[in-house]
Amino acid sequence: VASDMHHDLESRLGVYLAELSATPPPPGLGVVEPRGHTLPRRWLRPAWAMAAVLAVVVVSAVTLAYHRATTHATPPGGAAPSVPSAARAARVTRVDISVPNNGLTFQVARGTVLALHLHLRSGTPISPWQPGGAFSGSGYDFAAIQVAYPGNHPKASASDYYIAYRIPEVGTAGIGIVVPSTCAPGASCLQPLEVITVHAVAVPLTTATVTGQLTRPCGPICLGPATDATIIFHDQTGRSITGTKTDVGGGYVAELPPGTWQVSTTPAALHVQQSTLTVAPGDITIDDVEVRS
Amino acid sequence: MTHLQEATEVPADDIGARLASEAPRLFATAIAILRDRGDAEDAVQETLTIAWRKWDTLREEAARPRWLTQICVRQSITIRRLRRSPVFTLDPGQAAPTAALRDPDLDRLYARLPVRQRAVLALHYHHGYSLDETAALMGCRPGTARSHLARALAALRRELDGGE
Repeated sequence: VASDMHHDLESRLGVYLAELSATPPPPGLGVVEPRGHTLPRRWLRPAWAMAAVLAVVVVSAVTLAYHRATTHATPPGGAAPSVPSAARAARVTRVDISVPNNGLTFQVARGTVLALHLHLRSGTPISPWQPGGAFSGSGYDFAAIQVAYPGNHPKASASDYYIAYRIPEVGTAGIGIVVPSTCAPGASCLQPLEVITVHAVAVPLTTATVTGQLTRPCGPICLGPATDATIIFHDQTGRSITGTKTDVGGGYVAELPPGTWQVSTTPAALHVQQSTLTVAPGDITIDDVEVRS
Repeated sequence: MTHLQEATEVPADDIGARLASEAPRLFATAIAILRDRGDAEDAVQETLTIAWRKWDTLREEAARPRWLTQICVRQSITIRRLRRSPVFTLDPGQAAPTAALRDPDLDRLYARLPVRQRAVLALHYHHGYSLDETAALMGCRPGTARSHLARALAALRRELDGGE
């Protein structure tokens, strides 16, 4: 009986899928715009064409693991040796940005301001460009922050639009941009009309990202990383920058202006064995700090 | 400021005609997986665009249909995943059913299955690919394809038995 039921379901599926697959394809499918990049066909249907079209910039993060043995740079002043038994990898984050249908994929550092120049290369725009907003909720880890476009740009027009977002976190974010429609109300617009070029501009960073681990030395026993501590950087002018509180692995992240920084931690009972660190703009420095209780 | 990358040009030759001839077959594959006409159109268009750009990367002409099917299957899965994002719910046609089917109960249950499970069912039961071939087309391990198939069948059987 079970075998018959199994066979019956398979047969039923076969008939159902054959019927589903017999759905006639739309006319004109297969026409590929030979230049540039086309928008999804659904955007070219009259119902969509009458409304403005939403372009989406999806921002997702790639976390690159840098093993200490290969990438750890000894900070000026001499870092304490690492704990040999600690099989750990300091982590540096980059942000990978892809623009669907526009073929852009590249990496920028966390904290980057992403300036977008969208250029409509075909058709006559009949509706304005608009920021569609930053998405939040399921599938998104954080919202990109719209910021002023860095520097000067040519005057925006019906075919050119300029907008910038800061990428404050590591994760996945979505940005919507309403692009002009080029299909008049009532028109069928079967052929792809909108071809958009996106120029992405990453503004050079003015700060350095420092990340690493607060470790404790191994005596008779290994105490493991220093968790729930805060690392603080001071410069010679008295400025201080506080990094994130260390996680369960003792990891921290801090954004530092360029310069030479002295390192301390809280609670104060932790004595830092290493003293100074020098960073330049755009640096991504892995700096493990050894502390003693 | 630095321009990091600009859109690239694609070659213009008679590849378009070849792709156009493959489009109906790819559409049948995509709609069997996606069960939504609009999504299937998008998946096929993306497939054709990718195929156009990467045409020269495949040297063995006999493998071309399978290569296109592979891109189409993966694009169908990707598009379904991307449709979870809020932007795509703006399309009023998104939730519209496809043409009336003779097995509405199965259609309703099929629509509820995860896209990867639907892909296995479509490729295995409709297109006749073995599970190993199905796994290769989807870009997963054979064991994973078998697992998707078992779960899909179990879910369908459970619901159909429960509803009857």
